[in-house]
Amino acid sequence: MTTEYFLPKAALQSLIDCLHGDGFTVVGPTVEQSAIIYDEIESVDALPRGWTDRQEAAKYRLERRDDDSLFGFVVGPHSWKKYLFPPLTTLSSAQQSESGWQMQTPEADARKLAFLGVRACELAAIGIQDRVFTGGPYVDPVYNARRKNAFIIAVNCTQSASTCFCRSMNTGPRCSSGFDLALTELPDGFVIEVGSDAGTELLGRLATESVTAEQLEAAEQARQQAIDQQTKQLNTDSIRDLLLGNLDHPRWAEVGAICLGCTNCTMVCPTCFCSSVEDVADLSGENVERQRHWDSCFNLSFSYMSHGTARNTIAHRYRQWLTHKLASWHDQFDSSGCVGCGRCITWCPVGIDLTEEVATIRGNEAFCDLGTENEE
Amino acid sequence: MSSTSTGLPNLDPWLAYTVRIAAVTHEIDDVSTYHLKFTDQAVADTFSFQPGQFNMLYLPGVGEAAISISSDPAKHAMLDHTVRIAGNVTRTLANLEVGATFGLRGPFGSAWPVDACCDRDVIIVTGGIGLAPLRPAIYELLNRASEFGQLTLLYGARESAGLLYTGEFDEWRSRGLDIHTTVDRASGGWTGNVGVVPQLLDRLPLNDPQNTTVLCCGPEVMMWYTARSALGRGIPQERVYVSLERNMNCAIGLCGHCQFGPTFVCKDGPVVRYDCVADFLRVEGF
Amino acid sequence: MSQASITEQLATLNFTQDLPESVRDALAKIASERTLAPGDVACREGQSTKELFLIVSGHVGLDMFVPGRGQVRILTLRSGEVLSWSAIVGNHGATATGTALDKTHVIVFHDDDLTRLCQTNHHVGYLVMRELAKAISRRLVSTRLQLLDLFATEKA
Ligand SMILES: Cc1cc2nc3c(=O)[nH]c(=O)nc-3n(C[C@H](O)[C@H](O)[C@H](O)COP(=O)(O)OP(=O)(O)OC[C@H]3O[C@@H](n4cnc5c(N)ncnc54)[C@H](O)[C@@H]3O)c2cc1C
Ligand code: SF4
Ligand code: SF4
Repeated sequence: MTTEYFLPKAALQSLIDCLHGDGFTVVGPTVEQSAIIYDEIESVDALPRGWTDRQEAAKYRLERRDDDSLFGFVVGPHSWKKYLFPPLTTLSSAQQSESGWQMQTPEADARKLAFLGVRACELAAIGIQDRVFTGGPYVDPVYNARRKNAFIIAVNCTQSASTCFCRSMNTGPRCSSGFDLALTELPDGFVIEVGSDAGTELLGRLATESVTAEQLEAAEQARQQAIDQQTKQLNTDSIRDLLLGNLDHPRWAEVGAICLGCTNCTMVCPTCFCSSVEDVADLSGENVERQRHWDSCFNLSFSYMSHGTARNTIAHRYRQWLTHKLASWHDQFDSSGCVGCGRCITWCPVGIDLTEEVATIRGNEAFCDLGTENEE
Repeated sequence: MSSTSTGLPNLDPWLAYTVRIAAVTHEIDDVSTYHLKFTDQAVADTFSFQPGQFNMLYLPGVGEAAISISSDPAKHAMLDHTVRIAGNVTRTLANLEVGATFGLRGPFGSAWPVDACCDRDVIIVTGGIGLAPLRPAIYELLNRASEFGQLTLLYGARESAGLLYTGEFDEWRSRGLDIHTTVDRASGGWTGNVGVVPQLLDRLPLNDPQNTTVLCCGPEVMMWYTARSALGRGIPQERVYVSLERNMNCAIGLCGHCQFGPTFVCKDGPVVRYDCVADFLRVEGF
Repeated sequence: MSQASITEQLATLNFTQDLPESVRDALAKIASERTLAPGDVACREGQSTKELFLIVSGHVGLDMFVPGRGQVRILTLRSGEVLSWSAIVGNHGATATGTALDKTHVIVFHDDDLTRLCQTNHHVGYLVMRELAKAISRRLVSTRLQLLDLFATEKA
């Protein structure tokens, strides 16, 4: 059992201050343009005190809570990937000189980032991106530099949105590993668990109190609420074979007819990692930067080859996304590519819900089996 | 997936080495071989590759293109790339003069399973520019010819003018490679074989199909029919290798472009065992 | 050349090697052998053909005449392949001109004999027609691949 502590609400600012003092840039949730996003924060006042989010397919709305909770919401359109895997980065530069082109690696980004308010599904998503960017034969230097320095303060969810299905994906709602500190919010403070030596060290500098049995019980109840509220499910039984064995299922064409190919789902997904690299030159053409930006398998150009594009229709591209996320990801990275955060459902403008897509494919398959038995 | 990925040649996989064009050989219409030298001798001394691997050729300000290495892996003086003009990068390359510099990242990807071919017959089946990624394998097989059984090249093109490296065929034959060429369309005095490449395999006499390896590179449809023909002739599917092509952006498995089902073509491929991808090869739009 | 040698040859040819020995023997009885010199025409496009050939060695070019382009080579046949299937299943009108490209040894079946054998012995008839259908289907697939013109926009 990990030892737990209690941090009074008023002492949360000292946590942020300590991190600042250690040279960290602290990133946390804050309200902007009617959504809770992640941004650099200076003080607890930037946190979404008293706000909650209401989510369903294609709908996201902020509402006032009847309390002063700082973390009384689930997840918004942002995820931490925008800090670890920045939407736009310079990977290398090239200069034309008398002896020809010379290529250089840019200065490593030595910024130390502290993430405040990382949910269980997001810890899982970071774990997945760790494997993508640092677990293979090639390590991405940009991700690696930022990740190595990152300090993670997790927050246990005390509620679930109608779009959440982390329980099906075994990623939450309880934060179990992958953090330096983990908080459970109570009306007057936080029950804190420690997940690393760095966490212990930092906690030692805060005015924590020993935790009472009542506080532990209240924290447990708060976390149980998130479990009880969760209704959405994804049946993951043999999901890899189910999807890869149904590449010609008629459902792909149906969902392809609705999907706009807007890429929203891939932009908000905390695990999607597709990108493209392009050259940006100055006017002389002698100084060039190679820039990486987020891309999406929903873009037609993504599978371009000079003799033809591999995935020509939106149906092909939706199938690529879903089969990658839920099926071939297992072959590639030994886990699902989905953590059940529900963002792609909320932020899809036409409300496509991947759990329904899978259920339909699964259901129709069962139906087909029945169909042959009951053949007239 | 199939064969090996080599370790990190460069600690920063995004950083390109500088190469200089030492010579250019015009091969056929729109296709030339660029003989490249590293400007940094230390890189030249340590760079090595296996047959079937590719490099990313980087033309600053234009972009990168994945191009297979087409020279003999045993020869280090020069690194050859046989390139067909297909678009921006390849056209810009075609306009460069001898002496010009650009960038190169690599080598990337899996290799033809040359060692696994020991004591077996090897049939190379390819078409058009698909011979370029197989030429290093041919060199290596011929350099070590005594270790293998019968070596055969079945090579097709649209027309005779599309056949690459024909100037080397006599030498390859003299070193033990049985070469059969074919064209889809007979033109201008061609007296050789007419018909598609997989057909050459249909008809090839086989000594011992169970112990024959097929190395195939070409358009997916051609590879699929070649594999079908090989299987029909009794060659086990785990001895049939194909080289895949997909959009290649990072070449190090980080950008997502080149996925083909579970396979990242850049790091699990381009050379893969046919049975690992057979289920997906004929799925439309996959 | 003796019948025994035809039987032996049938046992090695792609077209007949999978047939039961009894069927190969029956076929050998009605077959004859011929050697074509380079340039010899085995069948001529548009003309009636009553002979089906099985190529034992050598090469035969198949050409079709296209006004304005002359004879266009569409396929080269070699050992184990059938030539002039129209003799059996195509109303006897050859669809292409088959010209020996080098010294070419063939086994020849006359339509009358082969058709009679197939009609009187349906077992043989079925097996022969199945092999013929397989050969024509292989030719069809190849023709489709040619039609796709895969190397027009090609890749490495
Ligand atoms: C593993 C592998 C090995 C290859 N080996 C060779 C070879 O030896 N010789 C040869 O001539 N060609 C080869 N190709 C094909 C070659 O990569 C493309 O023809 C080339 O990328 C075209 O670039 P471009 O800028 O001239 O064309 P454009 O049509 O202008 O391409 C635009 C951009 O698309 C991107 N792109 C990414 N992948 C591809 C792709 N597969 N095809 C086309 N565009 C792509 C490139 O970044 C390119 O800058 C190979 C491809 C792969 C995947
Ligand atoms: S696929 Fe959807 S639910 Fe799964 S992790 Fe990505 S955004 Fe969240
Ligand atoms: S599934 Fe929805 S969010 Fe994703 S590309 Fe299609 S329309 Fe956009």
